[in-house]
Amino acid sequence: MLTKEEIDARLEELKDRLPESILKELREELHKVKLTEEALESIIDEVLKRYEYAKVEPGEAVGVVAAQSMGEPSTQMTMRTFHYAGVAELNVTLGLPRIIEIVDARKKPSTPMMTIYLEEEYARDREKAEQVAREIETLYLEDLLEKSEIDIVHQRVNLYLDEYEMRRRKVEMEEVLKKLGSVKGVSVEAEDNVVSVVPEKTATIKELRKLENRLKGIHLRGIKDIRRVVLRREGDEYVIYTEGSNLKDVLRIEGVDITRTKTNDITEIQRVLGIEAGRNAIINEILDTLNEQGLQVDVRHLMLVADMMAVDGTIKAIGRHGVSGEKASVLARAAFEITVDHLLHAAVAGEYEELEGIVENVIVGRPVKLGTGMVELVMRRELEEAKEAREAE
Amino acid sequence: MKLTKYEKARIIGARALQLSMGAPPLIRLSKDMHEPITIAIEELNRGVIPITVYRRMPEKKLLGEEE
Amino acid sequence: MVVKELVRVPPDRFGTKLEETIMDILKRGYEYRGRQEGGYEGKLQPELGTILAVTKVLDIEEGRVIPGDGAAYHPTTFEMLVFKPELHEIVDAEVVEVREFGAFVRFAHFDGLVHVSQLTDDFIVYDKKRGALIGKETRRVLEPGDRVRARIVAVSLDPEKVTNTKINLTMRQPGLGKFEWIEEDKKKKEKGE
Repeated sequence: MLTKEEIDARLEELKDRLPESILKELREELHKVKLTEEALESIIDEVLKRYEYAKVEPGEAVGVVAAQSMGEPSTQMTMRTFHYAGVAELNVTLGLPRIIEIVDARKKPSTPMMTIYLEEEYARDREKAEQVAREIETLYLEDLLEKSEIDIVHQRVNLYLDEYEMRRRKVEMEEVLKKLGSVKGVSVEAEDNVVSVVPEKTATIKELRKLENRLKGIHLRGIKDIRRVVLRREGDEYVIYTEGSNLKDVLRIEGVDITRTKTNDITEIQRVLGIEAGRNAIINEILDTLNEQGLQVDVRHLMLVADMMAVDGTIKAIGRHGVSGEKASVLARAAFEITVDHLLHAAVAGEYEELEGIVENVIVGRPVKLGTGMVELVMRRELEEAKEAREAE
Repeated sequence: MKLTKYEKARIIGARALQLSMGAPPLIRLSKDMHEPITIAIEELNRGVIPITVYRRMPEKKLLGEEE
Repeated sequence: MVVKELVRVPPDRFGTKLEETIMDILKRGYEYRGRQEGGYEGKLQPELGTILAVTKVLDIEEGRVIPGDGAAYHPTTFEMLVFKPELHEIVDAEVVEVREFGAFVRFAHFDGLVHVSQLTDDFIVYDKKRGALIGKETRRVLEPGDRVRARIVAVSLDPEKVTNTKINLTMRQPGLGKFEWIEEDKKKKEKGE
């Protein structure tokens, strides 16, 4: 039987031949079982074999394979999609529309959503978690009103505050009055739950109505863009789901676990956390969407897609306005979409075609530089003597 | 140096074509070896094919790989 | 003349000395898919003139193997001996045929025409019976077999059709003409002095 140390020592030797993640997994698994030296060797051999086999050889048409690997499950999806699966009471776009959204690199997702994890101390305590949730959810004055009315005779706007809502959202009267006090050109009178706002100058109906709308839109607390918050218990911790997304501001809230909190707005992630985070977000979002539909796609295909979208430091869409539209080769661009425009522009600008890519070479009818087509062979001259040697034999 | 599957295919293909076009084989042929492809594969296995693979690296530098 | 060309060495020539093989291909050539490969000796090329001989193979680069062909393509630098009639060049030629409009002269393997107006300063008459051109005043005769010295005034080479190759010459300059005339003129000049 081998000891754990002996196994580790043997695995250490494989450092150059296997990636860290595989070694780690292997180490953990091997520690669970009793092994003889022979068994270990045969396991290692098998792992190495499988690993080598899983590698992609130079010249492989990875792009085409990735496209097929994603395209096929996508056709499965179109059949049974457009129904929105809800996380708690929130609507989230899923399935093919979501995939299209990701790949098109939309500036805003159709249903922005955040999953906010909390730090240990907040996550366990419902009270504290609710407190954080309240801090995050945007609250406009309108949300607290039972009703509002315009009193022309007395030249004022009456706001009837809803006591139940006030209690539920833990808003104090003072807070409301303080906010209203900062509005210019009006004086505020409070009586029970009725707040009257009186303009200093005599106002017309139109002006009063305008004022009413302005008052309703007063931002009391919370983070902009986050319209709704749902608190859910997951396992032994509370997690906040939000409708709307504002990663930058949410990360500033105390009690939020910034290492796990995420949003489905990929461009926002890229903006706030950088391009590498953006790339990972693309991979995770596509993978999650596919998995949610019960479809298995190898991550490496998604990684390739994400890499292509993220190479130049910002997230580009796949397609005419992004990756395909920015190719260097005229013919490659023309082959994709809006052929005539590309050719015309190239002719006017005097563009040069290097004929290096696949599409270009297919167009002009040359062997493509892919697979066997990219192998360059050169005859060595040792054959010259061969004949004489053969004759001498 | 390990050849990729594409390199192997290309070498065997080119060599078999050469053999079929009259190039002298570089191994002693046994009686059951008639197919140029069989001969080419055997030549490759023995490492006697006088063909070098050029691998173009991203920096456009040429890297000659001995077969 | 040094030339660089891609030489196709067919697989059935593998296993022989490459220099010799390439030299042979360059000299004699062979047919491949209805196209002539190599075999430059005796060929006429517009920009080179006539290739008289391939003299030396200077450098043979590595042979590329391209898809669809088992042959090796060697970029080869080699030396050739060429003859190209240059404009204004003076050549010694032999008269091969005389017609009303002028005389055909042969130099190397080219045939050129000296037009009647370019023969001498004299007025020229064509003698049908003798097949010769005769100067009216000087009585100088030009007939087939005569050796002449002439200057090339126009060259147009066509490798496709030899008859399309046209070279025009003149003998109406001092020091040009039939060898005998040149001698005569020389003596006359000496006497005159």
